[in-house]
Amino acid sequence: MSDLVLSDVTAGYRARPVLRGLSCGPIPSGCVTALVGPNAAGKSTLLRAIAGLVQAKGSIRFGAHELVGMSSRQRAHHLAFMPQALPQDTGLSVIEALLGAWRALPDGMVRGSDAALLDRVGRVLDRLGLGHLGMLSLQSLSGGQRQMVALAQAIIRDPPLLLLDEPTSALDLRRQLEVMGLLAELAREGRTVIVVLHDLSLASRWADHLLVVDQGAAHSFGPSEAVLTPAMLDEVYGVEARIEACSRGGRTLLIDGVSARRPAA
Amino acid sequence: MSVALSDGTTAAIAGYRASLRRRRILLAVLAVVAVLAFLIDIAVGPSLLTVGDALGALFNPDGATPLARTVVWQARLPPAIMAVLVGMALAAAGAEMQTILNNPLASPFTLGISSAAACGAALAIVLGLAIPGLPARWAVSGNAFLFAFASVALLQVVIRFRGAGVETLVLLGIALVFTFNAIVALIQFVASQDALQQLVFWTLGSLGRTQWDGIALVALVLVCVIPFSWRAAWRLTVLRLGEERARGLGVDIGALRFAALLRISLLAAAAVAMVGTIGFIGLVAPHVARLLLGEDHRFLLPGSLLCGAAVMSLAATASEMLVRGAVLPLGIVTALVGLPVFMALILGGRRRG
Repeated sequence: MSDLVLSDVTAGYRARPVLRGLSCGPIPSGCVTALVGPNAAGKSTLLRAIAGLVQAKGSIRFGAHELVGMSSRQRAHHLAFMPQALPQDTGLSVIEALLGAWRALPDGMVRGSDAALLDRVGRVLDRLGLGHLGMLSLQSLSGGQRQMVALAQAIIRDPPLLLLDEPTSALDLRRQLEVMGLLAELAREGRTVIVVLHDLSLASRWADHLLVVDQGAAHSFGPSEAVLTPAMLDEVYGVEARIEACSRGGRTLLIDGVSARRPAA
Repeated sequence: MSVALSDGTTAAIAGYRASLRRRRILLAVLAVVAVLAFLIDIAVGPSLLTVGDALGALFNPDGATPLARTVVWQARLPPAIMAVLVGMALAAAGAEMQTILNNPLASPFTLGISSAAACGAALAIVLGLAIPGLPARWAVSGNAFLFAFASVALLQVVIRFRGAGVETLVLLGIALVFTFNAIVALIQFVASQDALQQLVFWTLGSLGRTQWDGIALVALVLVCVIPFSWRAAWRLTVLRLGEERARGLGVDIGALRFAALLRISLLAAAAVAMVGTIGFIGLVAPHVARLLLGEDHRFLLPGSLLCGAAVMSLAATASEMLVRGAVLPLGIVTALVGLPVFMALILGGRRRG
């Protein structure tokens, strides 16, 4: 059970700072937190900074561990990161990709017999409903299937911190719901799950918390109902929107149009 | 083990286990092919020895005639062993190069290792420049090794310093190729007739210069380097899924690429220094291994070694057989034989998966 606390996180690419002193948290374990925000706000960069793919300054504390300055080997013990890009064309089979995700870990973690590992692979395949694809090569899979394999790679190690960049972007409606349900399930088991989502409806429905990132800083953070307001949508996205009660009790996001004030570029 | 797996998953895992068995058998078959190719290389040659006499002299030296013994043990065995070792070194280097550059058309020489080696050799042959303290007969090989190794070291420094990616690495490598080629051309321009001929012959690649200490050196490099390749096998496999993904799984790509380039430069530099530029082995052998065994580097790496050894032994045999009474430079044979094989692979390829 570890919370994630971000303090004054600055990160970016050569000559282009993206995150400018972002502070947020604690992002609690046991629930799903969605990173939302307009294009180029720094959502993916924040995720990559936590994962260690982008150099960050400031402090990123996960439980008792400071992640900033930690080597990728050490970090791999605490977290798994699923990038937005789908796995590239390769002749590796799905099972090989999953074994690799496990075996490529730092030395101390790759022990265990092949039989035990294959059993673990099998359980992850079953959990995601991918069993029938096990022996197919990744290059023969569809985009959505590849995305499911990428998700399987992230969860096979069972890390306490799960970072997912747009895990549902290539999925059909049913798979989207299944994956979000699975993430909620993984969170309930005690993990900290942080996921970048573009789709605000999906985010508000499935995420327990929303972290709104705007212009490289945290705009707001809190329970989804509290954060997702017409005022926030106007301020951050520059759209006029309503949050209406749905006939079945849920909340529905309705976008009416572009708001009068333009968001800062 | 506690919860039963679904039928589809159980079938897939059984399929995977079967593919492991199939690939182990394929490796064994490749090993047998490599040994046979080696024996053929020894048995066949440009002298009047029959195949039976040659093999007899190899396996039972005491029962053979002094002539057969001399021919086999002094004339045929050293180049045959060198062919196997160089084939292995170039193939292993090629397999790693293709993975770290994420390009199946890469070879150990893609980043200019052979051009650098030729430049070093040219300096020694034409201008008599050599590493001080090295015996004269090692001057050319020593220079070639130094230049080949230094060229990759230079690339390493640049990408470390600038934090550059694969594209930059390849572009810099290409720039090195052209630079070294220009220097070699300049040296050729000022070279004497005799030195020019020597240099051209060196760059064609040949096993004819093989000495036992050269064999020992290439073997030593292989023995020292291959265990590290093996240790990196899973990380290299995961790199096949894309750089970002591998990094997300905790693989330090910078360190992996650095170590792989170091191994490649040692293997390729040792090979080039001993036998000159022998192309296509480092390209074709890993390709064939990949077609047979897939991209799991636990199979791809040993498979490449065995394919490299087998192809090189066969090419060495062909270089002695193609023109009666003469041994063609090996580099020409591998290029002539390798090119059609390669074209066939490209045109017939992309069918896996």
